[in-house]
Amino acid sequence: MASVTLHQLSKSYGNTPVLHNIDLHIEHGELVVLVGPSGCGKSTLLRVLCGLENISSGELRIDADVVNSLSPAERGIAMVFQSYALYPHMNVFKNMAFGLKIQGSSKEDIAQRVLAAAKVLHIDHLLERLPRELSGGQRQRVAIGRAIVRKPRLFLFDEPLSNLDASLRAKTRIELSRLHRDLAATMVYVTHDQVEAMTLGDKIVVLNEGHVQQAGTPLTLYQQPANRFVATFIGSPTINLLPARVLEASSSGVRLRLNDGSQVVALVDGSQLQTGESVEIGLRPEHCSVDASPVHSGSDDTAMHAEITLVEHLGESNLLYLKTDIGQELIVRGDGNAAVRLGDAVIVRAAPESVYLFRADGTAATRLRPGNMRSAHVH
Amino acid sequence: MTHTSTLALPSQRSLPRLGIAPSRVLVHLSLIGYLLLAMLPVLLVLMNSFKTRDAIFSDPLSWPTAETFSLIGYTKVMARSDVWMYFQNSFIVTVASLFFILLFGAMAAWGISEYRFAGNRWLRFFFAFGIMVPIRLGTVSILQIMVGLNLVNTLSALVLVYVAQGLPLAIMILSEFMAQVPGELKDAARCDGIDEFRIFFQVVVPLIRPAIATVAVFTMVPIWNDLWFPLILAPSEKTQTITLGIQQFVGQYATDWNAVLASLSLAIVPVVTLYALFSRQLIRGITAGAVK
Repeated sequence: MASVTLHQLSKSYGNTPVLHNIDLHIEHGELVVLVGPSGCGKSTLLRVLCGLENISSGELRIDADVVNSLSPAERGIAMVFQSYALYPHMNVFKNMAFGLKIQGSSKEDIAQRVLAAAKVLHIDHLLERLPRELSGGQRQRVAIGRAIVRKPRLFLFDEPLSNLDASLRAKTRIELSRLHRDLAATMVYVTHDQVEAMTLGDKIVVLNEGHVQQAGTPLTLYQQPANRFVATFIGSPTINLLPARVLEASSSGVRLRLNDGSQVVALVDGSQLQTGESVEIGLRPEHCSVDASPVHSGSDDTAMHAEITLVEHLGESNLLYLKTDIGQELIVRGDGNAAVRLGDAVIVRAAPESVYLFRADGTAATRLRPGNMRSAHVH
Repeated sequence: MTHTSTLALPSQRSLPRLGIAPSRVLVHLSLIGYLLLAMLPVLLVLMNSFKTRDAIFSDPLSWPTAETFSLIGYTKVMARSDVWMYFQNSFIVTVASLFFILLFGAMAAWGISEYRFAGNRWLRFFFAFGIMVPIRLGTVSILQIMVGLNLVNTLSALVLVYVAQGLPLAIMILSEFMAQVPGELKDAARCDGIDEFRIFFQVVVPLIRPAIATVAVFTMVPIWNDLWFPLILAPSEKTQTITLGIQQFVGQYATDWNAVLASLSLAIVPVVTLYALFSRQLIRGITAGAVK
């Protein structure tokens, strides 16, 4: 397996830049997930890695070799496509063997490698079938099998699970994760599904408009997002953002005033902040708590008065859609009990260590105790 | 991203049998009417080719009876060895033209539909233009070129002209079908290390086989039936095609109708055979066309 290094890599179509100076390092055996909104360049980046698109400028290395001008096969890359892209007129065996045959491997070698891969993927009984005779999940496995038999240095996956139904997707996700461990393979995986990104990735790279916003472990992205974009992109439901003004700031914490007059303390490094600066605070729905019997609020907590406008029951929890006194909308994850009703007046609190703070340019202040804190409760 | 990779034509669906709608009766009636209109002349030729000369003239619309039945036309035609040569010439010209039209047409269609290059659009226009302008308009210059190339009275001259005549339509139809072959399939092949020629011959061509069969049928029939170019470019005794050869039985003062009708009937057989060979693919091309 191999490590991959992107240095100042850019790609443009004509005069339209799609990727801007991407710097990224992928370790041996690492599974890196590329996420981002549609059109952020994640699929383009994958195609550039693969060699299906030219690199406009910059350098792409696999191990120590610069591979900018090499074809996909010469790079030793295998790609699994969203639509599986199986050759419709060839049976499963031939689909998996085609690349090897062209490479000129011997018949016995081909048969042995295809059979081994088929066993790993539990498709060894399907080798004589045509792709149209297979279910979606089976086709997916054949596509993965076709990638495995070539023993590539790098695997690329382009939203491989998005054509599967929900239960199969979860199952295949776990199998992929197992496969990654068994093969000890370097993999790059593109998805727009957050759950896939969080569960599969050793490292997640968040892209937006062709720029890398942040690269890090799933937990880092969740707990210590580099900026507002990453914070809103990771986490579901989306983080609540509220405008605020800095009252006092130090390296051990920041006191802020929200627009409705309530005060919030955030345990973030405020050494860069000025008193009176306009900022935004971020509250994750799962970190807020809702007090359904409003009494006097604690002085060190966020204490916003709000009204429940919608409740969504998910079973294990519920989502409360709130509107504050000044019309600000909030989403809070409750504990799932039916203790709250539409139209209830509640008090929303968030512990200081759970508050995120973003400056006007979108950069995040470093959180001092980013570890996961208490989950939501309805009192 | 692209959806699952099927060609655009919808798959065959069985219609529910809920009585027969009047509109369908109308459709079938008009189709049957057209069939009769198209088949009657052919039937007339076949019927009369089995009759004596007198019977052809006295009652051309009746079936051959025991009295009027005669194979005189066929024996006359078969007895002449040059007729077999005419058949052979027609066959060589048709098959060779077909082969080159399909090969070059598919390759050009692949080039036009798959690769972006300067002049791509102009090349498309150029070929579309070739469909619109009848090649016969250029007969004089074609003849001059053939004279210059010393190709008059050779089968190659005919093959060259027919390839030129058939290419525009073939390229048009095939490039449409090739554009529908999912891009990810080609990308997957490229990832497998398969070069562009193999992608074309081993991945793309098998997928558009129905389209190729359709093009084959549409181009084959006019070539087989053509009288114009054989008459102008290859009228020598050795290079006549069957459509031209039949004309020998049509005289200025007397026409040997038995021989004409018999040879016409015989001339139908090879095209019908070729059509039958392609038709299995053709029907799939029209109704299914799906690759997955």
